Amino acid sequence: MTMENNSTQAAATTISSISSISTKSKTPTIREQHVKKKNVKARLFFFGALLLALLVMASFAESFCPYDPYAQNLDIALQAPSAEHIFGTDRYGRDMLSRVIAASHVSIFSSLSLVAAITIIGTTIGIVCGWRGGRLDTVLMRAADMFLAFPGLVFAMAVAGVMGGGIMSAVIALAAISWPKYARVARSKTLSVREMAYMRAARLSGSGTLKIIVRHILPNILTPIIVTSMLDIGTMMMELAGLSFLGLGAKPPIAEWGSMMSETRRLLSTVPIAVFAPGGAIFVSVMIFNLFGDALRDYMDPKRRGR
Amino acid sequence: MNKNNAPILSVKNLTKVFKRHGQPDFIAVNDVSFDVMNGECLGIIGESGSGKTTVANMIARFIDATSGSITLFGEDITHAKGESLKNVWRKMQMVFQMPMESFDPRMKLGESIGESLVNSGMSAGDVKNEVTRLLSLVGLSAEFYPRYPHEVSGGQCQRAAIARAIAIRPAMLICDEATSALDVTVQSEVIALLRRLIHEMDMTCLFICHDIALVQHFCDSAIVMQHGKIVERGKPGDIVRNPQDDYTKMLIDSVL
Amino acid sequence: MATIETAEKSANGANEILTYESVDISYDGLKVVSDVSFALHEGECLGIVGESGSGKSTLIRAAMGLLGAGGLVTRGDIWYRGLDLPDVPRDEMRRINGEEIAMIFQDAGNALCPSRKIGDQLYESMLEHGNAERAEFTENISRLLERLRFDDTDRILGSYPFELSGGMRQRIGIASAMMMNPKILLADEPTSALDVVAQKDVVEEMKIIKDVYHTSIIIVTHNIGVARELSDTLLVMKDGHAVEYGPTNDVLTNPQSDYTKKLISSVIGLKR
Repeated sequence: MTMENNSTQAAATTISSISSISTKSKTPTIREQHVKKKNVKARLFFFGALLLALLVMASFAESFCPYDPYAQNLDIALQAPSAEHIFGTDRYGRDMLSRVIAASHVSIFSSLSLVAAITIIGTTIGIVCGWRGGRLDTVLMRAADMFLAFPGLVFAMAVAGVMGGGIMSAVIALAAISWPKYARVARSKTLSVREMAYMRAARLSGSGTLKIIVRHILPNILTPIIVTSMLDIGTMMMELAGLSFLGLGAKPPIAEWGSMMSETRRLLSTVPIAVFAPGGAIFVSVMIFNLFGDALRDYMDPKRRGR
Repeated sequence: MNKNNAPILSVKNLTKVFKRHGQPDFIAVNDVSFDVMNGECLGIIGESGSGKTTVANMIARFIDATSGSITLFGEDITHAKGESLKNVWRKMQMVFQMPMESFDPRMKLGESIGESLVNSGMSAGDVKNEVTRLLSLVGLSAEFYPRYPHEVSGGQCQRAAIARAIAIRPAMLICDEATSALDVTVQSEVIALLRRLIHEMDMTCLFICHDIALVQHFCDSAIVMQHGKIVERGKPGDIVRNPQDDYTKMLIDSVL
Repeated sequence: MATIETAEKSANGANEILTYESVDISYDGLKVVSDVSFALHEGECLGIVGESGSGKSTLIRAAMGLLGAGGLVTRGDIWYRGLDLPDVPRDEMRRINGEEIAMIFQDAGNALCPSRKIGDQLYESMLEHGNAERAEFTENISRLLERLRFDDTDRILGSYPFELSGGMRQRIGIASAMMMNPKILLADEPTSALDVVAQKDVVEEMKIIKDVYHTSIIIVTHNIGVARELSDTLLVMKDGHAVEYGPTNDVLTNPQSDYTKKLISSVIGLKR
């Protein structure tokens, strides 16, 4: 604890003793190092393959269906799972498996187009704000704040309600509340990138504004935006399903996982598979998108990519 | 070294004031004047906060001067904008302190070096040949063309930065602490390279550096800056051996 | 395993305080330091010079157990008072760090918390290693700072970090490492981020530490001028290997290896 020096300490060493060092006896200790292999690439491929399978299923949903998902047959209504109808049938006698598969088309592609739209709109606005600054930046960012000030889903419900339901209005409603997140990320990244020395180097080489934005800014801010959007697909899928569940999204008889859960929720105690089948489909696809997003983030971050 | 009497670059009463919220204005550069003659290499010595980099940024027109004037080849460039600014940059290029950070991390070195050539309308094939020639000029092989900045060492990256700066054959080169971030052995190589190129390409150089020994080694004349003001100017050898200003004396005494 | 080696140590090197024996250090299986041996004696200042990537910083981090994830001393021993530091348990290491072996970094000054007064911060870091009365602490720290030739210690202790210059903050960082009066001070590029004038001040401070406190110092630097000024012994590193080791004067005036020759000839000195 004392801060006093030990004045009795040995005086500065003479250099002569150095030569003795190399003649130390005893074999040096060996320690084994366990190198953890980073399998980011393998993870990316695995979830990428799953994602691809999911997208293929969603694209050609109709042809994967064992039965017509819209054909009603009241004779076989509300059947328990059997060899013919693996997930059973709903109260109109429609094959649940076919309906779950058919619904993937609407559920997945509506979330994909939603995320694509907000990514493009948000990023564009963010770059413009970050690059131009000034009054335009203030106005657009205050507008973004305004959208963020409302509780998201409640605001989306109001918009969807005003627009009169349908999957399209649900998508627009969610887009309205989701773009500010992308605008903020793009803006802050643009602000930091434009101060980098390579921006000045690019200007020195005579490149114009548009070229600088497209060649230098966009590629350097894209990583976090792509990762955010990949992780957002799952969230958006759930929110779309939520709006549909509340009757503000896809309208019956269109097969959509959220609205299917809403339709069958009264059967939870009698035919639970009718609720769990679309619910499970949401769970599985959200997981695939999220895990792929995670793997993609790790892959795009060179520090996590490993050697 | 003076080949003719008109200065290439003339800076008169240059001042930069930064406005600050709730605090008095900060005078980063205070009434700085100097001329750089044709073929001359002028060193600006100063510590961090002396305003030397702000001077460079004003001359390169990255920031506006608050007052004063900058004349390049007899043309007033103090307020150059748009096309006329691009013209200025065809005559004046810059090498930055941090080699890695001065290259776009997502572009190949060759693409970055050739950017100014592409912008000046050269065809893609010619650009590629010229960049390869430039690479060899700075002592890098053609293998470096497709490399990314993080794949090369700091010294190699700075060589590439020099290649980029001389690509459009500027008459004036500004080096802003261009060798400060490099290891000593690399630093002496890069200094030798710069010296050779400046001589071969007949460039005029503004060499901004905190290392007075380096300025003495590299420059024909020098100015010493402190708190935004020029406190001493002259031949570097004279400054080192016979400093007039107290700050310059302290600076020289501090060199280990 | 310690007892036999302790006996061996005390018999062998009377005043060696820190001994590296055939040290290899690897990161994720990649060797970055190989077969480096040297010894630090009591009161000695050892300079380790080399360029970026030479493994010079890694070398002293190994003594502090600060290699981070993926780093390991894969071969060899680092002896400190009969303890083989790479094998010392974490809890024991935590006690040794700071109290017996202290380390300062390139940005030691910026490691200070920006929103609290310097005196309060130093007091708190003192408490980490045991109890101390505030009054006693203030007296001790003032004496330490005065010895290290700080002017106006009361003002410094009552200041926020941003009120001081970068060089001054760095000197405070070094002083705080000296609070516990460590036996060994490891300095990793303590002057590299500083202007020449501040660099000179820091070098002067380190000299006082060496002369007055007789602390054994290892200073890692790429600046040969700093090493020449401070160190008694010099170790030259290149690509993870020790290429030269000897008294500073001998190494600088009569370098043996080609690399050392190149290193010394590359330094552009002031022609006075």
